[in-house]
Amino acid sequence: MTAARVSLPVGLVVLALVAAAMGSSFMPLDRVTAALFGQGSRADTVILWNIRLPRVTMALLAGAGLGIAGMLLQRATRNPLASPGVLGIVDGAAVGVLLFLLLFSNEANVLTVSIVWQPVAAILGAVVFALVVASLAARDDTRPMTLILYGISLAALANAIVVLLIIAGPVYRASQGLIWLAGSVQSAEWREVWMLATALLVALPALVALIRPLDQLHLDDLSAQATGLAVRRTRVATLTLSVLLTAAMVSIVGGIGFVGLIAPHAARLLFGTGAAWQLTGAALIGAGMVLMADLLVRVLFQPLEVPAGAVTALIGAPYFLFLLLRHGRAHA
Amino acid sequence: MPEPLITIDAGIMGYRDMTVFNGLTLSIPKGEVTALCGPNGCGKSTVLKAMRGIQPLSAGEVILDAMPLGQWSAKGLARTVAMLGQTPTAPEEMRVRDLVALGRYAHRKPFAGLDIGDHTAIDTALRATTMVALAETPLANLSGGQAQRAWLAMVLAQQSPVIFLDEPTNHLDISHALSTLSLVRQMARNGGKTVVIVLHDLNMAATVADRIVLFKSGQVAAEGPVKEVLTSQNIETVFDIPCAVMTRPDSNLPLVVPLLGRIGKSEGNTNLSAQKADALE
Repeated sequence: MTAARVSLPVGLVVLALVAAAMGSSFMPLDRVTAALFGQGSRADTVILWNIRLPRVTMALLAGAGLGIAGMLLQRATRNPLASPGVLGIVDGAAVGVLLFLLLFSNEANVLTVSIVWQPVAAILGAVVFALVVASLAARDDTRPMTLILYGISLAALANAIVVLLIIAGPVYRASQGLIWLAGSVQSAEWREVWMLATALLVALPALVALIRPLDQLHLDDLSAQATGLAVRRTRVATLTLSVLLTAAMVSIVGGIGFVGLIAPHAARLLFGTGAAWQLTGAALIGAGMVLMADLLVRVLFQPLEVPAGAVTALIGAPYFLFLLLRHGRAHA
Repeated sequence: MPEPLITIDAGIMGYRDMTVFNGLTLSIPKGEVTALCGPNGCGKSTVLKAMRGIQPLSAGEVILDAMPLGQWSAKGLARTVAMLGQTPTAPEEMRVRDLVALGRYAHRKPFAGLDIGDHTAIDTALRATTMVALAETPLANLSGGQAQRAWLAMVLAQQSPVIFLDEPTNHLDISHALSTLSLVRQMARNGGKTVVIVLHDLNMAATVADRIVLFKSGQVAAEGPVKEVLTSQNIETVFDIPCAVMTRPDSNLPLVVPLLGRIGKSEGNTNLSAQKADALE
């Protein structure tokens, strides 16, 4: 585990440098570092600071946020299959954003209100769908499969609403909406990067405060409560934070799926089950996944711009099936 | 009876549309081992959960140490009463020492690691349960008896003067069951702890307890010192079986012997209804 704790951050830095070097024109590493520290040519500096760095930073931050959101969700529900995507939170946020775009943009495809309201719309959508899933699951017993089935049903419903909104909306929005939905970081701007960073910074104190309660949630509810944990309060706080983080990430980068499912799993294997380490691991692995996915689509599909979410889904969906086969049998 | 530490006053509790107990009044004396016994589904586990505030009463109140349970904070309550449920779970890869450390939650300061007091409590708990040699072993590699001792160590590390145990000898063979109970006995005798323990087996209860409370359908059918409660008349009333109560040759304790003929074909049915009752508990 120590090896992973050291090599993963190092690997991430290398990956980020490679991602900064790759693009429609290749920039050798010495020129990347030169431009990074203000020593490069004017063209290099513009390309790096205005196009590539926002894109790389956005991929890193969004991946980290989704990884953390997934880890919180899995720990709070004690369900290894739970993730923001599977439980309909991502699609719920998408409904919120599309409704926002539909209601607040004019014929010229320009927003009539500030873009900072987009995350708010995403949060509203995510919260509504999360509440429906939670209240459905609470009525029933707490078998892992029940929760997942409710989540998948609600995600399908949200998806149908999204498709209707795109088709029913003006034509110019269709292609734009589809690309955003599939999740991409290609049109990253610093303003959006700052929004992501702010969301993560706001979440940080709550995360730190939740570390020890999350460790206590390793125990079953009765034991956790008997050792002094306010179980219900902890669970509500954890789920709320997860939904807010997911919505904030999704509202800006779109539905990059399966990062919230895979990152916490890999983190548990590579970093251990201690909440502090698993959160750190999930953030690093999530960041790496989105950056890698974005890098792959840039290299493989050039000059086409394929959304990074397509790659994470391509890897993530089979992995989810694998988990479903393994855990589904144990709990069914 | 010594001064009561915990009392339930006119407690009413149930699940959804089923009342488990209605108007229950019960006192637990300080510094003794009290065993709660009775048939499946009689509400003995529910009483334990109610006294620990795990499941709230719908009417009546629980008083712990002269203060209503609702006024205790989650951590304050945990520092006073520890509880081990019937089916505690933790991740398989967790090591015994880390599990025991979770028992320190209510004592720890925020944002600090385990301090000297925590480590002392953990080591003492590991020694008392003879789990020192297995401290670094993952839970998955423990036998049933070892796992039960690991959980008891977690409960001990909580250093609470009161301990609730819900059928801690379930799934243990007779020798492991007895060593678990002797550990419980030690906690009360040497540690001065108040123990409330739910047990199925009346003879085990007679071995470990100072007092026994017999429940029947959510009511206290009999309570008092072991010898006064374990009479053939009481047991026949509560369990609907003919039985004899003898005196053990090795000690002065009562020994309950059910007087049943060989069990016939209806055994399968009895098991089924017993499982249903278990599910209700």
